[in-house]
Amino acid sequence: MPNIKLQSSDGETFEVDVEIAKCSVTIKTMLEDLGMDDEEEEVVPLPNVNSAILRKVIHWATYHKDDPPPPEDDENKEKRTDDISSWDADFLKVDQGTLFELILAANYLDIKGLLDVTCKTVANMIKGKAPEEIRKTFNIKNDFTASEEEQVRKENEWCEEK
Amino acid sequence: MKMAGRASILYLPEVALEKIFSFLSYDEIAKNRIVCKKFNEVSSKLLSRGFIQLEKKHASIYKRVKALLPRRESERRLHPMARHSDVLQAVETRISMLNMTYMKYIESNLLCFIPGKVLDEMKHVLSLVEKDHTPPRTHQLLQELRDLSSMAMEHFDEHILPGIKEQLNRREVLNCTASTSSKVPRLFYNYSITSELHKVKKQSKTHKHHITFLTQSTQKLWEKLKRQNVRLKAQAVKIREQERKIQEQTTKIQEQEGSLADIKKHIDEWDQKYKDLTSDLIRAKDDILSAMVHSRPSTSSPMPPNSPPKSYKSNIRPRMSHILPRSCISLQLDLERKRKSNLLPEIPLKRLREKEETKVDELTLKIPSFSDMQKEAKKDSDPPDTSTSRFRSSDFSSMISSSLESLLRNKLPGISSRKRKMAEDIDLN
Repeated sequence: MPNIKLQSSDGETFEVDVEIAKCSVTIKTMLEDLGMDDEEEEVVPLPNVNSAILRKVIHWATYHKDDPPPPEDDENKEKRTDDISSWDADFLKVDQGTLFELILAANYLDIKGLLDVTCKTVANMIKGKAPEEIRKTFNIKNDFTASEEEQVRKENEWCEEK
Repeated sequence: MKMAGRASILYLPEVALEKIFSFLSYDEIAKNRIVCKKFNEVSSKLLSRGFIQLEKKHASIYKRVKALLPRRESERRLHPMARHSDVLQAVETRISMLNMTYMKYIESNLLCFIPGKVLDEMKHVLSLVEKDHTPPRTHQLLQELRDLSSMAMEHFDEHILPGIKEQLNRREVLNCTASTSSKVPRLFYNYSITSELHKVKKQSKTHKHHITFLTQSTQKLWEKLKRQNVRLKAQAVKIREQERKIQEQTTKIQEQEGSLADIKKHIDEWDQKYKDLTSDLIRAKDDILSAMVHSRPSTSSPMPPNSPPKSYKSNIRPRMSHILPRSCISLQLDLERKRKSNLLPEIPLKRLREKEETKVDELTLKIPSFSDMQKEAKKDSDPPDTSTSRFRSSDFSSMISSSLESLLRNKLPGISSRKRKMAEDIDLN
């Protein structure tokens, strides 16, 4: 199997199986568009991904290389967040920073499976939490002005049971 | 936990956040709007988009179901898909109601589709209809959706719409000021100004009402004035006609006055002639009398002196009529015909004539007596007495003539006065 060299933003080079690399639609399209020459040892620079994240991504992709291609996104499909495989769950037991960076990388490299699972993980972190808890969880500052907050609160009042 | 650099959830690209939120229910999305501005932004987008997507989804499902149903409505009820159709129809009404409530403001970016829970419920119903071959009864299935959407819309109308409208107004005002003077900094824009602008707007509204009312009333008045003008014009025309008629009348009157003056003149002439004639008559009578007196000794018969005056009289009448000009006679005749008192100018004449005649008769009657007296005197006295008797007779005749003359004089002014009266009457008419 031919390999491809991927270079992270901090200069580290990873040699990956082309098939694994092709999990990323971005890389796949690039290879298809530019044509693959086995002889040449071209390095594909990935300036948006650091080595730690790239390593993780390659790890994930290697594990999922035999997965069937993910179905096209269907808006009508019931969105579930409880279908994360245990391996993925374990894989994503990382700090929030890594998780978000994985999302960014998955978005940049266009790896749908990884993006889905990471987003599901974040969604699970949000689910069932009150706004204040969410703020705490993600270290978000409430940047509404008083009137704006009142407006939103008022708008959401409608379904409060009396 | 490492929270360094861009590794915060807020630094994720919007696509990623949308992806994350898309795994949440719309209810949760709506509730999480309050977390922070970014959350609010993304969530609002998702909610609005969710509503539009559901609308589209419903339309496509409804289209599909309708295509399966028979064309005849009576057969539709018995079709296994009838319930699907019912449910979809009910959802459609809900969707259109929600659309009317929110869409206008969503399009103007004033708010998002607020009730996320309604979207969840709608999604649930639609998926049930889509998948289940025998969905539950319409009423049960839709109860929650109905409740939720009604609650949401009621709340919106009661609590949110007023604020939104105010915001809308403010925005309009801002747009106006921005368009008129874009350099006005936002700093000057504060609540007091907006409230004042509100007041001004209200005032202008009331003014507008007043103006419309006033324009209406002025229009009414204008119409009235027009009508009056038309009436005035008609009256002016009438007045002109009347004036014209009056002028005609005056010209006629003038003509008549002229003709009357002519008549008067003629009558005066006629009077003069009549006087002359009467004087002629008297003279002739005197002559006759004197002739009689002279011829007395020769002719003793009393009849001859009686006949000459008669012949004289008969001779005069045709002459008088001949003397008057034809036009004058005709005019006089006209006058006589027209006027009721037309005989007035004639009457005195007749009377005069009658009187004259009677006088003449008296004269004639008296003459024989006088001649008898003379005869008696003759018989009594001698021829020398004839001189005295002659003297007496001349004396007597002069007396008669003077009395006749005085009579005529007295009568003539009366005639003239009557004529004058007539003229005056005509003038007055």
